[in-house]
Amino acid sequence: MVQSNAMTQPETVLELEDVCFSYTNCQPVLSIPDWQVRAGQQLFLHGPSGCGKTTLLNLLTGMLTPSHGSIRLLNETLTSLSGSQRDRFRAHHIGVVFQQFNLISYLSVADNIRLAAHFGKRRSKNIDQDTASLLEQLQMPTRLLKQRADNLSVGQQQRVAIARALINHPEILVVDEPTSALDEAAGEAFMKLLLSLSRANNSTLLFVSHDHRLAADFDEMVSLPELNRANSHAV
Amino acid sequence: MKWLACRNLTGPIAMLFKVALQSLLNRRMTVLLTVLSIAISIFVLLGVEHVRKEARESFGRTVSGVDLIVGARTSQLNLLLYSVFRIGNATNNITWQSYQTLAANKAVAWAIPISLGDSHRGYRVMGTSKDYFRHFRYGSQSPLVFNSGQAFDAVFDVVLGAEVAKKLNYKIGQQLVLSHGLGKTSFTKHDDKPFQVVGILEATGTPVDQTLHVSLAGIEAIHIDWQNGVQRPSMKISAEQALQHDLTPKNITAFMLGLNSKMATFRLQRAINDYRYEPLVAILPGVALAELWQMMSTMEKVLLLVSLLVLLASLIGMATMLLASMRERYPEISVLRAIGARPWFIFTLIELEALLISVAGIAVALSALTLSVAQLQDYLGEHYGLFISRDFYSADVGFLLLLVLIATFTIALIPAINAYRRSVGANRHNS
Repeated sequence: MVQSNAMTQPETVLELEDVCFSYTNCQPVLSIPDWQVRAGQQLFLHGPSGCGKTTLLNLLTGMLTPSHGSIRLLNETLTSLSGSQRDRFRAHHIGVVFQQFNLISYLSVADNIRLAAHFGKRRSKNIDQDTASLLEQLQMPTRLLKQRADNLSVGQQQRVAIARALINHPEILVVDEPTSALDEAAGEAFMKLLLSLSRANNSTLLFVSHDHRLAADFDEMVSLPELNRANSHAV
Repeated sequence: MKWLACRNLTGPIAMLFKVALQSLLNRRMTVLLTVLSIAISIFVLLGVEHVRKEARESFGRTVSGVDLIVGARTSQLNLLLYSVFRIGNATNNITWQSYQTLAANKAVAWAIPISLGDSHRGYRVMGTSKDYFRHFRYGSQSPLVFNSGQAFDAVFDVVLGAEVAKKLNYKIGQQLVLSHGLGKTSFTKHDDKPFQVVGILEATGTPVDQTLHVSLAGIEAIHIDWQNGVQRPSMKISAEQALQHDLTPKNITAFMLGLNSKMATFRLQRAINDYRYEPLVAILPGVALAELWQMMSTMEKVLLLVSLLVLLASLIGMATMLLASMRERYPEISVLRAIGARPWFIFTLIELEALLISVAGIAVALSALTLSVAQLQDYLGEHYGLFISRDFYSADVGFLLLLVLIATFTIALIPAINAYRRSVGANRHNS
């Protein structure tokens, strides 16, 4: 049996057009003439440090706005939204996992997730139940929910970060070097969970890393230095 | 519908409070010290204000309806303080002759003689006449009222102020011995001539409560065998023998006058100040009080300024603490931003933390003030004739506290705007 969405052309979730960004006016850090990402894709965005990865992610999540050009996410032109509209959009549609320090250290695990649900406007509907089920899928005991976030190991914290990022069922999951603070075994386990959970959630995954070895299980790999024309004259 | 609106309203605020509280608890040591420093400064501010206001109130309440106070020539303030507030001592006595002459003036409606100098267990003894109970007024023209018993009649009768009776647990009919001089532990007691309690006054909240009242004859009787401040053993006279003597006083300390017409006040005052046979001074209690306030007002302003500066210092200390914590809180701000918190949320969080610290400081200060006012009340009353009420909550205090909160908000703008700017700027997380 063939699934219906496989038949139709997958829609575009992300579309960058003529995007240019510079912190100061003189030298652009990032310049992407044209880039699209299809829905449901698991994309490995490769790039050495200093090539504008974090800047790109900040643009995609609406934390920064480009100097010119347009960014469309889920048929919404991010670049024409106001700051608070972008914040709301991020809360509702994008899950973010950082390299480390993903949690507010003085809040409990449960409160960290609840806070994300709060901003995602999912206040009343079975958050606790969803949280417990996410934790189970992440192979973590639910007793950790009551622990302060900084009592957890770094590996545990990174896994809670996935739960936190997925609690609002975001269409897009943005992940930035999440395994760099983990040892190899923990890193591998983390990658497996991340890929399977983002797939189960039907989220489009944008994964950024400098580490080629992690790219194996992704649908597609894109090299950021190739995408980014800002430094092309130097290459 | 209503329920939904309610949820929308309480949801974010409850969340904000929760995060702010947990964040403060996370730094409980620095927060506690900050709360204490703010509490101390608010305590000083409110304490100074309360004592200042109550002192005025208490002083203003002590005497009313007395048109002139007359004593041996001294500053008007000194005369007011020793005659009414029992603070300090008379420089000189005045003769009974002068008193009688002036009391007989046709402008005078009534006169109350006062003779001070003895004490009983730290409370001052005042020799006076029965007119005192009839004419003396305090507060807003309130007369003295007997809680039990009546005014003194016999030479060795004593009427106690409410506080004296309460503190020393005296009842009508009990006997007590007066001491010579004003020390609490006087070694020279008039123990050969005990007095009997015949009346106890209702509390007035004025130095009257701290006073033992005896007749002038009583004062005269206990000093009949004294000369130059010492008892002469060779001529000891017993209580019974003393009653046989002429107990008309030769000297008194001061006297109060009530006049038939206020119009005569200044004329009589001038006449007394020019009194030919003895250097006297007559003062208007209101004018003397005004002079006192004028002297105090500079001091009060300095005190108020100092306490405001202390408050400012602790608020700046709080802002410093919050600002210093910003560096370590940067990851936290990034996380909040990443999950969709608006920069205003970050700003409000920092402001809320500052306000919670101040509110905690206010709570600690108010509790400490309640306790210490209760403790200080008796001490100030006994030692300074200053009657402060326990109740320091007033519109002014509310205004001051509001001012504290506004100042907190304003000063916390420094760390809050810092946090806001950081959260608006690029997320350079982890780098």
